[in-house]
Amino acid sequence: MTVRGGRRGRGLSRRGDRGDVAAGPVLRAVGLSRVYQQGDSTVLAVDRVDLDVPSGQTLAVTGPSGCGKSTLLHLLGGLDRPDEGEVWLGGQRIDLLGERALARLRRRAVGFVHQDFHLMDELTAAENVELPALLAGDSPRTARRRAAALLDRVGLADRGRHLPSRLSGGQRQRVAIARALVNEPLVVLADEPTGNLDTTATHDVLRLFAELRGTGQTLVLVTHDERVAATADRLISLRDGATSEDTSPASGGSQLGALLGWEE
Amino acid sequence: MGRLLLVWRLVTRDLRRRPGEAVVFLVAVTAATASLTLGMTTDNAVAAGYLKTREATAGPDITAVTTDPDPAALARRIAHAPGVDTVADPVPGFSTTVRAHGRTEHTAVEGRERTPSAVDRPLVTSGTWVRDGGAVVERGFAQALGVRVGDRVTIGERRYPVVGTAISAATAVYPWGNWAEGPGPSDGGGRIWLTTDDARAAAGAESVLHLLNIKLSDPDATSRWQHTVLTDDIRGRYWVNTHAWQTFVDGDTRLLRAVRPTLVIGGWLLAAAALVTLASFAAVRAPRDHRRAALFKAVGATPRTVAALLLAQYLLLAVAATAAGVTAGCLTAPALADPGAGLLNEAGPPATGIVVAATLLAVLVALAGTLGPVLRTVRSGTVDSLADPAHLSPHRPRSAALTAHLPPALLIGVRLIARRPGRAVLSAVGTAATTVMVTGLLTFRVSLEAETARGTSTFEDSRNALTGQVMLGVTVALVTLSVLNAVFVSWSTAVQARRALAVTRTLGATPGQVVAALCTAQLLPAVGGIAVGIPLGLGLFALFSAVVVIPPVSWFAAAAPAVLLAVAALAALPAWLHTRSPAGRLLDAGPA
Repeated sequence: MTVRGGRRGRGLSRRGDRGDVAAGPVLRAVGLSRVYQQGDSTVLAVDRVDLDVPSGQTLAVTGPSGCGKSTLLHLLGGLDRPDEGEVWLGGQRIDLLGERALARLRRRAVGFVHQDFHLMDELTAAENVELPALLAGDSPRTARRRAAALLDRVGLADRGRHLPSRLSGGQRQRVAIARALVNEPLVVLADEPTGNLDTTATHDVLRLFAELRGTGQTLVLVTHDERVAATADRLISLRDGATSEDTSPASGGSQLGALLGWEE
Repeated sequence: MGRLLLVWRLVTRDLRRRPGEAVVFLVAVTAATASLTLGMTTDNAVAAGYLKTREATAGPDITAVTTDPDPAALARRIAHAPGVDTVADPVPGFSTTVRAHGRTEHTAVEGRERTPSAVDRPLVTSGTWVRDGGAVVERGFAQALGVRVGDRVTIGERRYPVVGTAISAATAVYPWGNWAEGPGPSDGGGRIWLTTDDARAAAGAESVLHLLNIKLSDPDATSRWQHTVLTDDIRGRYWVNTHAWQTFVDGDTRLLRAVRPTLVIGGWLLAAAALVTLASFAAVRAPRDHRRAALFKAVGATPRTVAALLLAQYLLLAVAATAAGVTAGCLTAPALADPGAGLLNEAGPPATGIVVAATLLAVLVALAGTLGPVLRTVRSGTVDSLADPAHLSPHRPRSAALTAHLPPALLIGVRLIARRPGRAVLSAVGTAATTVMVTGLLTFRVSLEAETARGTSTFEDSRNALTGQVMLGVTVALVTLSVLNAVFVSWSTAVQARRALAVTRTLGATPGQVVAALCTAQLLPAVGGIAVGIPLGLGLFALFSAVVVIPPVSWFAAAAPAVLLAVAALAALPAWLHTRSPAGRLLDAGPA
């Protein structure tokens, strides 16, 4: 598969900063901690996590419910701020940025895929995909062209004018993935992307991620599904907010193939 | 460009998906802007109407009334005075009474030729101009008498068929059209035209005056001309009184000055009620906006962009409501400015100042009602909003302890108020606004009876009739808005508290208890609103009225429970609808 709809890169988008990114990890966390206050008690959601994600790597973050996987993902994507530690994205430290700068960074450098899809109900599939591009200041024509190309890429070229309510769960998640890719981000962060999907839809989504991996897209997947985790290049397990295991299963590709029925 | 497209998409889709909410918003803001437009345009409408009439009827700059039985010499002296352009032939007239449909009114009867005069050529609006044996009645006066072409009127002892109605700018409109009164106080009244022969015959023993219509070379120099040119040498030995055209405009606006406080205060009250509607509107939308803002932020929208996107819809609706309100106000203004239709008065385009003021009011009301929720939404954490768009209620241990021993329905109702105290205050403000107006209307009715029993002038009758109409109109608008508010606030309370109420239902609360709780949440603020509204209404009425009679306490004792009952009934409807959904489904429901 090839990346279509190539565009002029700006800021921290993948194309614009390929040279910088090649010099070091795309995503880096140093001593990352996040504490929540719940009534009189405090909960250490993320506990001094160190992490380097090289360009093009697919990283799976696993662990039991409440272990801090999603919080870590939000910290890495600039949706939340750490209490301690640093987050670097594309060679830029982002944990010190203001809300506005973070928003601009997310717009260009990060693509989010959520378990609940989080599509806007009143916009069509194509319009949902166009949304980040329009927010980034692209012309409606460019946004439309890119959305059409991405919907084609995720196999939903004929569903562009459908509202999310008329799409299946798998189709919605594919729209969400297309939306995450529209600004060609440095990294795609997916939070339980198959958590609400049936087996067939899960396969469709994983196939898409496999294609993305083939294009060199950096991916961070949060999942509690071991089968999904096994498709990654690298796996870290969290327990009580801290990294308990960091492995690189050599069988990532074959596991994915087995899961998708590509290999026996 | 792309962002504008985005705003447009979101606004239009939202309007299409939820037209009811947009209609509520439009009704509320339109009512406030229409009231403001009315208050600001009526003066202009009178002036514009008079000027149009003046132009269409060759209206005089100065009218001179004299007791001189042969005013030809006076007319010549005036014609030769400096600054005078034209003097029309003297018009004979007398003051008398006219009877029609059992009603008797004072009127000036004017003798006219069938040929048009050089100055003041009344414009026939129905029927024909004067002919032998036929009367033409000034249009505003005809409307007050209830006569049309073909009806008969009795002037003195003679009966005349009405052959036409007409308008003129040579006097103020009814009830200030009776110019034919000599020295001394005026009774006011209308104006009727007969042929000169008929007028002299009808005058009988009445003393006949003469009217001289004068055009100056500088129409704006009337005051200077009256004081410096019209000397005793020109006046001669008979009584001569003069009126400049500007005094007619002033006379025509006297009625409006009497009703303006009602309009202005009504405008404030409508704006307050509109604010309640919009705040409830924003509250209903808050969970949805919350989620939408989180989605925007997740895909890279800055807080400013999110605020702009959310506010754009409200502002667009506010602009649409302004357009509707200004149009409604401009269309209504002529009828209010000239209720007797004595002038050529058509709705005209609004002045820039009015459009600016109405837009400002609409935007202010829209922002005041919606900015708080929007800012809260913008400031909220993206992750929390995505995870759970529901607003977390603050923990209030003191109020929890105080209400712990109340019966379940009352307990839930009080807790609902404690959960959203701001909305309870708004609810009270809305009820207070309506109570102020209802109290004002009741007090007006009682005071009017007392004033009528004491005896009233024609002007007071006209003023009271117009004030009554305006008060009724504003009260109806306010009550309508309040009905809307009661339903909307109750609905928004039910929507926002749906999970809490669903939990109470799973714990055993009956639908009746839930309905009672939601009604309680509306009734308690309403009691406060009524308690404040009654004295405020009496105070405001007393401030702007000469005669104030406080209605019997029994009236208030009946009205207050009636208002509360209405509030309870209106609040019960959305509450009852809420209880029809299974509790389990409500627990699982996403953002509203």
